[in-house]
Amino acid sequence: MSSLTIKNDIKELNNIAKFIEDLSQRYSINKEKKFDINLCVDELVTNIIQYSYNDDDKHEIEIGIESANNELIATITDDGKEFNPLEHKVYDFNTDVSERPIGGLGIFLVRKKTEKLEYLRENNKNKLKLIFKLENNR
Amino acid sequence: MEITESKERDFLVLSVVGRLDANSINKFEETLIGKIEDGNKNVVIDLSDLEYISSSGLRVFLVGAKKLDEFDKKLNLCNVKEHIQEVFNITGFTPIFDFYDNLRSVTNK
Repeated sequence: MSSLTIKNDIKELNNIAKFIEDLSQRYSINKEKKFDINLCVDELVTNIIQYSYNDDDKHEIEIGIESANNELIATITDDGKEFNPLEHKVYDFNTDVSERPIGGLGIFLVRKKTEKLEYLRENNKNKLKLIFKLENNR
Repeated sequence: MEITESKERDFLVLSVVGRLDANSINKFEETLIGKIEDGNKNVVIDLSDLEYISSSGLRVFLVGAKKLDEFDKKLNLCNVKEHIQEVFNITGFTPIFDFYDNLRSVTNK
């Protein structure tokens, strides 16, 4: 398991990209899957940084990635307020695109791009597990 | 993320290079909306060198398209890589824009 601990600062998205780039090379993950993994982690971390804290303090967010049995598992742990993206209301495709609330778009993309998503609230922390399927060509 | 700007016939061309995420969208949004407000109504964004986009980046394209819609114009996008196009497709954003294979097919229309 490789992990990266970041601060609640949006500039950290660059470090996440580099972290995923390095791991993709290690696990021979193709560029389409690398894009999907980066996108999902980015969307969830961006949500955490922008909406999850009720104070202006520094917080840490931990990102862990491991791969086994043709799966890649990313976990994101934060100490922000309780938020379960699985309970977030589904992005509404029936309204005009320009009227849709933009906030739900990131979570919609995460649901589309992951094989499975698990949420756990434990010790006052949110733990999200994202599971991606890796094909034979990764 | 870097933006370069040029003129082709009647079109303002903005080329976006690198990554469009929540960390880099402010500069892109300021440039795009600023240029439209300055009177550029024929705008094409060349995405040949856009490697990455998140929902934050999509939102800026939407804001630009809405601004141009006030003048009955569409936002033209060209040279969109497959994995970027897919994000537009699955979010239902594709019909909002005019997509072209290359810059010439926009500026010659």
